[in-house]
Amino acid sequence: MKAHYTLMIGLALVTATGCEGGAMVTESRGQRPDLVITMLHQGVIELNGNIEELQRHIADLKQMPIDTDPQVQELQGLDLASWELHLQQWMVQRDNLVSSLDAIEQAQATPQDKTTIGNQWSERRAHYMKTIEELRSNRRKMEQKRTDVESQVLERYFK
Amino acid sequence: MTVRTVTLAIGLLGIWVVAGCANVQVLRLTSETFPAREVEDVTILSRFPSQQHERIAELSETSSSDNIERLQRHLLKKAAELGADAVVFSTPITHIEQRVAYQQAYNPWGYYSPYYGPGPYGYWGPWGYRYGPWGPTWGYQQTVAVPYSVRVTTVKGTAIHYS
Repeated sequence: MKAHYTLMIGLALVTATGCEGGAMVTESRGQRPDLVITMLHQGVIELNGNIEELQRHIADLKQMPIDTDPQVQELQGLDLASWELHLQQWMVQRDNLVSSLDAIEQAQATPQDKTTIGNQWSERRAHYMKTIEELRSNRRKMEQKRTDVESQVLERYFK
Repeated sequence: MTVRTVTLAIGLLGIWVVAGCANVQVLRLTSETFPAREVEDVTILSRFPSQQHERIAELSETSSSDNIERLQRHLLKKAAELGADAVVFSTPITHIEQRVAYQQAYNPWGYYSPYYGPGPYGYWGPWGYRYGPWGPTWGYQQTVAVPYSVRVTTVKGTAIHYS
């Protein structure tokens, strides 16, 4: 009886501490990572993962057999084009984050050039906003086009 | 020790394993050791810094969890134990794995039919109502293979220490 109580308590402790591990002597160097820079790095890592996955998905879509129906073909083409546009958008976003990280690093390394670096960054930022807006506009047009073609395909079932 | 105790013990261990315990693989790149530090002090990086640094270890974890941030936290925790200043994360790799689960098949006779209840001979009786090859269930498959997909994610990073 006593043995199994000991076992139960032991297991409960193991479960409670679980993955947290035991106490460890740690030292804090007092300098916490910059949250904004961490956010930029985190964004780059996530976007890189998304981009790779989407590239694989697009490659798979390109291997799919093409339907003989011209309207279904058009739908398939629109889907592929939409994914490619999405990929482009992610790449632009990723490049913008990388460019911002570069600018921050440069500004930290050469504080005397902060103003020049800041101006260059602002120009790139304006260009980025314009590109993103163009991509959004293309996306809206593509979505509209897809809805129209899809309606035509579905309407055939009711005629 | 009773059967109940052993079952409970196994159950607790099962929960502990399934609860998403960190299973970070560590490949040490240096014999030099550094004092452990707080995990909040370890910086997340997407590329190697220009600052002079030493590579301490390659860290990786693979999980069917889709939560990349959780896997990153596991790596950061391990890096903190190794005394790293930062972890340079590489692109997370996600792929789909096809797996098969075996589930109880639909029983055409229903659970309450006289052939499938515990009956006078019980499940483990000599006649093997449920599992025996010659019982009333002969010819019916008891389990079916159900294929399913799992997204498996691998997060890798290099723990570094500034020189």
